[in-house]
Amino acid sequence: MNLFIAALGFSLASAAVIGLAAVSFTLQFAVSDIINLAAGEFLTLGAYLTYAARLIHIPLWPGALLAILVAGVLGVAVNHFCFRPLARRGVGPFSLMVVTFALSIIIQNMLVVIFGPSSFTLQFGGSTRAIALGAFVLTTAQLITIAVAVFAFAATWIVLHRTTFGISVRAVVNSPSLARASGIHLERISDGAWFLAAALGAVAGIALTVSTSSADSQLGYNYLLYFMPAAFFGGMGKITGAVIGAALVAFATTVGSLAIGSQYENVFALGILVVVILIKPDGLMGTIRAPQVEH
Amino acid sequence: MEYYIITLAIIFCSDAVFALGLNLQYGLCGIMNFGYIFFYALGAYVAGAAALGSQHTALAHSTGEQFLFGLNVGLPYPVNVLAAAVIGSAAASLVGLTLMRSLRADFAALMSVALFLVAYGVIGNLTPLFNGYLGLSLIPTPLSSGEPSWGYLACCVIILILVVVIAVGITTSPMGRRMRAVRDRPDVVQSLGKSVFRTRWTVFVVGNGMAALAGAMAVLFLTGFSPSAWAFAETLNVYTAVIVGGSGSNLGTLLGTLLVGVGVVQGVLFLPPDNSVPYLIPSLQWVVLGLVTIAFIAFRPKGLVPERPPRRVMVDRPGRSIVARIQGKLGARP
Repeated sequence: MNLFIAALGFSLASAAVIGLAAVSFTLQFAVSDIINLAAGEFLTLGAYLTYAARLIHIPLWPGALLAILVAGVLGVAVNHFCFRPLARRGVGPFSLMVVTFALSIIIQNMLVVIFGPSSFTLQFGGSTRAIALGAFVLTTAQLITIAVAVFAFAATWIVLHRTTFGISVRAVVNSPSLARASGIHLERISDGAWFLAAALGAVAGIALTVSTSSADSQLGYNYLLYFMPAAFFGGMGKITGAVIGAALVAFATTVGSLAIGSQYENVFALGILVVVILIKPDGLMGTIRAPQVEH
Repeated sequence: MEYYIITLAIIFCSDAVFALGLNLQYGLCGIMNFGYIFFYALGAYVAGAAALGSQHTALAHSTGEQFLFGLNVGLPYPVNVLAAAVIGSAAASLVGLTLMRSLRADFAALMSVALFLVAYGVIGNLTPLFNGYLGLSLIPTPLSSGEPSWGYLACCVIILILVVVIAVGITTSPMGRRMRAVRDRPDVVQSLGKSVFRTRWTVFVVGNGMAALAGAMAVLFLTGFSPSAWAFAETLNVYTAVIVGGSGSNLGTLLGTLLVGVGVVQGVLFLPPDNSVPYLIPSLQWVVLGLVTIAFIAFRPKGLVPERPPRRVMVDRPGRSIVARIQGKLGARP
């Protein structure tokens, strides 16, 4: 029983990171209708940019903030210089998915070219000190991760529900043509959403690196199989759904790895994905808008 | 030099079979399959284990290699390659039952990623199955005495020719037309009473059977196979080959394999190795492959050899084609 509660505490920390990544992934899908296989690379970019900031002697926290902003700008750049021109050329959703796949491999390998193939750590003093909260035992790094995630979720929610920009984003998600007809600048909004998504991904990547204390160029790719099922479980394009899905995936993988062995924990995450897609392809929360035309 | 020519030729044969299978799926039928390389791996493992079982060398035994849970099934040369293709198709027929249902096609593509990742994790961690992350090694190459032989190359060429004949046969048959219709207008196919699912499923099984065949051809020559050989990124090689060559065109796919698979991937090995940064060239190679893929999708989506536009069917014979039959029923004559 104690083990179970400890698992619950641990899954809370991983749910925070999975949730950030899943929200990033799902938000980006919501505005662009592309399943982005390079979504994990924004996690990796966040971690690497923080690492780069530290290499030039910027302390961890300001460095992380800088990294998040730069990652957001890179997200806008990807949308602006890659996906939008391609979509304008009439490239179909299939080919765009291949593009995201190619992009993911380009980013991974560019990072290896620039930073070398070895892994690195992002730690701060006392980050592995354990703190007991009732029955939960969490490290300082995990607690900070959870706090940062809660803050990021709250900020995202406020941005999406309480600002003009957020309302425009939700309008674009619901109906791009209607949004355009009501005078919303579609491209500016989608750029903004990409910034938000990429920045959230970077936050997730930094949090992941701090709490697991190691990262390499495969960081985000390896995490794909956690946040993708989470986003799917909640219904693609649904922010709250993604957070709930993240909690479920985190819990299932933690319990699963306790029961069978940690090397198979990703099988549980993907098991959720397969079951959800088979039973209810549009996720357990809400519906997908009009099915996209198959090419 | 002779050694190198044989090596390249055998790798080309295997890669070409691999790419032709993907062209059937992606190019002709519009199936997005990011788990494609899993079937290649499955074929490689089956053929490798069967070859090891038939000729289990004392050396391989002493390294503690384990496969198929200690089951020693030995199959002689052509049979083990065939067995790989059959098992690959059988696995695809099961997976296809779920994957090829009429979900949103991009969700199915995502599920193929999931399938790949699950299979990768299980095969890597379940050591008794195919020796885990260490993989199979010391697999005997047939028709040779330790060196790559013209005999094995000849067998590979024969297999390639057979596969080309099958691929071209499918492309030009009524089935091929139905595949293109499923790719371009699935709703029309459905409305004509043809099953989109059955078309996709058939193509999925045939294409993945080719992947398994390609894996078997490669593994018997490479003499070893481990999960690092079928990492997710490797899928990009074959996608690039099909896209550069011309998706939907068998000739283009062969050309793309020659340019990408042999030209870029193998050609890089000729570059002088820089020992101070050994990771640089492989990483840059991936970057180049990715950029080439994106550039082709952007600027030349039809590839070097575009798919031939569908021939107008003039013959009004039942069973000849959907278009001809409708035109016959409507009394229209082209």
